[in-house]
This record gives sequence, structure tokens and C-alpha cells, in this order.
Amino acid sequence: MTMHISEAAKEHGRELRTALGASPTPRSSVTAPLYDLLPELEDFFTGAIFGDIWSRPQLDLKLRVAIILVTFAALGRDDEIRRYIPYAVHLGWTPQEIGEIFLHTLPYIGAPAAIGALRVAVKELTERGLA
Amino acid sequence: MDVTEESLEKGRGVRKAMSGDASARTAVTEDAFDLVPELEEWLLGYVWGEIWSRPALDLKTRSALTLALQAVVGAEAPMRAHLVSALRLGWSTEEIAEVFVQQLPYVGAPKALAALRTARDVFAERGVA
Repeated sequence: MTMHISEAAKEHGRELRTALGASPTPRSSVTAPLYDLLPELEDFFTGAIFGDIWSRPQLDLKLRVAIILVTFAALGRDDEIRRYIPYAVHLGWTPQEIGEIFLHTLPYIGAPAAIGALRVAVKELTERGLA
Repeated sequence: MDVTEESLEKGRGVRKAMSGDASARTAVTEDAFDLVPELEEWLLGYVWGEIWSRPALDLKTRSALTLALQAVVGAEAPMRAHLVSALRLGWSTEEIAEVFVQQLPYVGAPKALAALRTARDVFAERGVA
């Protein structure tokens, strides 16, 4: 069963991912087996999520990435935090500001979750020679 | 507790900008403060004074991030208070709604839609939507 994701949505998604500093499609060595099993999922991510949500004009991309970083921190999604740190840097967040974004989560999600997220972020920034 | 007067003063400044009232005592916090009076100083000085007032992120950005955090882990009462503060700090109703739209694919529809429902209520009560 195919999904009916428009070419326009997919094109917006590819443009958006490029603006994030990501590859135009979400296919990677990690996700390829998923998309081989469910080919529609790649279109869903590209068109429905990156094309039709991330591309909306109501908020700028830089703030959207910060919102997603605190969301991942609250959810305890370390792999996703690691993956989105380069996008945050690409969009102009400094390492100090990224640290501050996670410090801000502390009173809301507690020290273990906030510090766990910060640790992942610092490791990723360090590996990239940015902290 | 040994919270410094400097911390408390910074906290009052942030609270004033957020709510128009320099106190940390609100409908959300008053029961906890009645039970544990020291918590008022701790939250005002350390959370509002020493975290929220740090200059690396402005209050308006912190407000948007807090809405996102409340949508994942918060209860309705603190979410309502932060929605009112977000309006006060200059976010439009469209921008506030968009915080939860952005979160929808990541936190799931139930949490995002609940946050949007609360936002719609607060906007209606304040006559801004």
C-alpha cells in the first residue's frame, strides 16, 4: 500500500533537510534497513514531517531545533540529541548556548535527565572540535 | 536556606517580566510553599534567579523552550501559567501553537493535541484568539 505524499511536500522536505545541514533524504546506513522494509516511511519522514511541519513559516528553523533538543532531553532520546547537535551548530547555536538550552531543562525534567542530555551534547561537540 | 539576596533579586526580576508579579507564589506553587516554605526561596532564587536570568538565552526563548518541556512532562496548571507568560513576553498565538505542532511527530499526537487544547483555552480566556 503506497502513501500519497505529494512531490511538493517531499521537495520541501529535501530543501528543509539541506537547510538543517542534513542529507536531503533521511536514508542512512542506520535507517536503510527500515526503509527497505517500509519504503513509504522514507516519504513520510521527508514529506509529512520535514516538508509539511518543519517548513512551516510560523517559527524559524533555529528555534525549532532548540525546541526539538529540549523535547529529546525530556524524552531521554540520547541518539536523537547526538544526531541533532550538528544541525543546531549549523543553524548558528553556539556551544555555550547549546549548553544553556540543556541547563534550562533541569528544573523541569530533573538533574539526571538534563545532565544526561548535556553529557551527550558535550561529547558530540567535543568530537567535532567545538567544545 | 542560604539563598543569596542577589539570587532572590534576579528571580524577582524574572518573575516580574514573566507574570507582572515579582513573587514566585502562584496558584501553581502556593500549596507546595505552604507545606514547605523554604521552597519559595529555593525556586525564586535558584530556578528563576540563577537559571532563567542567565544571559546566554533570552527570556522569550526560554519561555518557548519551557512550553515544549511542559508539553512533555508538565501538568495543565503550570502549562497554563507558562502560556500566559509566553503571550506577555511577546509570542503570538500562532507562534505558540507552532511549538506544539513542531513537537507533534516527536512526542506523539496525544501530548501535542493536549497542549494545543490548553493553549486554545488560555487564548480564549484572554480574548486573544
